[in-house]
Amino acid sequence: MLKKEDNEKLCLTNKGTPMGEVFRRYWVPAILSEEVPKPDSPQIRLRILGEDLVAFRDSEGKVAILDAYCPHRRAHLFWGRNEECGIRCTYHGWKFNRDGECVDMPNEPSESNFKQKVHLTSYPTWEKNGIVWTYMGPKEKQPSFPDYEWLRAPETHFQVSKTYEGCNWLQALEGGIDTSHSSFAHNNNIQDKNSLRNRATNPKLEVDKTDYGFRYAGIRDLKDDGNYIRAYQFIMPSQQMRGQMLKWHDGSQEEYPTIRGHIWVPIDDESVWVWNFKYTSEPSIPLDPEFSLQQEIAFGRGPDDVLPGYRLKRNPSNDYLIDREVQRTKTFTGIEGINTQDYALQETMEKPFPDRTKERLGTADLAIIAARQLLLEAVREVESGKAPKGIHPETYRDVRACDAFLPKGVDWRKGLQENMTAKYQLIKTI
Amino acid sequence: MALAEQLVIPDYLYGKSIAILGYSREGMEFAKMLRDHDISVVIGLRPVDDLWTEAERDGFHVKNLWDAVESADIIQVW
Repeated sequence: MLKKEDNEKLCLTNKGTPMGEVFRRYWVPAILSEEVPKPDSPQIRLRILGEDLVAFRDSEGKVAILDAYCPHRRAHLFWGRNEECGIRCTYHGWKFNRDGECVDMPNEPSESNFKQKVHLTSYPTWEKNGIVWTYMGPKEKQPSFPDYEWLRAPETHFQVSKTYEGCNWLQALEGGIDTSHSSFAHNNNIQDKNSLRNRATNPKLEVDKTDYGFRYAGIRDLKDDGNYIRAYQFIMPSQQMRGQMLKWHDGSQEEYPTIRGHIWVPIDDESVWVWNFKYTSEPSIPLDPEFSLQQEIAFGRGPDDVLPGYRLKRNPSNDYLIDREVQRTKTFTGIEGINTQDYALQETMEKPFPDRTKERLGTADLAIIAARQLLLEAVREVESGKAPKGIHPETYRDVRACDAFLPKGVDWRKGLQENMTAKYQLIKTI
Repeated sequence: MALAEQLVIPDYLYGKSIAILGYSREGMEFAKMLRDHDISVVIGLRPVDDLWTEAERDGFHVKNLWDAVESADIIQVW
């Protein structure tokens, strides 16, 4: 379905690759704030878009993201000391501030001005809602800070986590925007013929292209109950947003109606950070911590499910602890955890990424086809010096996702107009 | 009630180009309605699909799935 050269174009994200340059035009989540909790706390290693980096919170509380390797002898700065507004390499004492300037070079003669000529790559950071964002592209192209609705939700209404997934970023993203797999891969009660997704396993699908990506809907005809609509957003380059206002098993209102989503950020060509966010759809309803915790457990990333490094205990090394009896009698996959089910299917695809020339896509893969086309369009835009879609916050700041029932004959765009418009208002800056 | 009588064209679709993937009875009826209202519509199918010739015989422009998605503002699967 996809030409070999286009597949590689989309999957590879190191510096200088077509898709790598696309990603380097957006602010992306880099680390959780909790990973560098306080000024001068220990620095951490990180890897994004194939680049080895270190992150630390300096004495002024600002988070720095720098090239991991000291420019002197390429020692890793993970071994350095985070001290007095900079990180000092423990090999020969060179010290760098958060802007990557070398501010001390104690093993050189004091009269030498060599330190002024040494600079370490540094990337700008911006911290919001427990996430440290970074921009890794050309300075002159740096866009405004992100303004997704969920970044405007107060901390009492919002929760975020991240998970390591051992596969190429594109198949992870494609799983997230694939509307029809949930009736199968995430069917956790195969006996229940009444759950919304089991009552109609081949929803009508619609994709509307927009300035930021596309919005799309899965429309399930539930006969006398009307249509059950799941309306999603795909925001370039790698964000999915979906509503969970209704309970999956019976369609009743959730006590804590939420909007959820993911952003996929390539670590390198064979692994990806999956960012998971949720926030209450109603500003009048704070997110209950216990509800939030139970949801994290249901999705397979509760406190007992995660190893150090944000990796899942259920992973390819133990076949995700699949239970064949459960698979035979209860759930489609026999694997616990909704997102763990995704990981099992995605992490065990061909390495380093699927040969998409051999795929047999069908009409239900509509959103996947549309996303690939948008990403290829973004590659062309960036190569020709233009801005890709989803760069400018004004194109997406008012959108949100939802799920709802509508009477038959009512178009979802009209019927859900209010439900798909942001309720957390823009923060006015003076 | 006949199927065509149950179908409604949302205002949003006027002035847009639509691709309908597949050629189910409902999709076909809707595509005909769009055409009758001068809304640009193409049918998207796999090249091996037997319905390709049928859709063409009905006077529709038929493209493979990739090209149909690429050519349209709004894409539907009925």
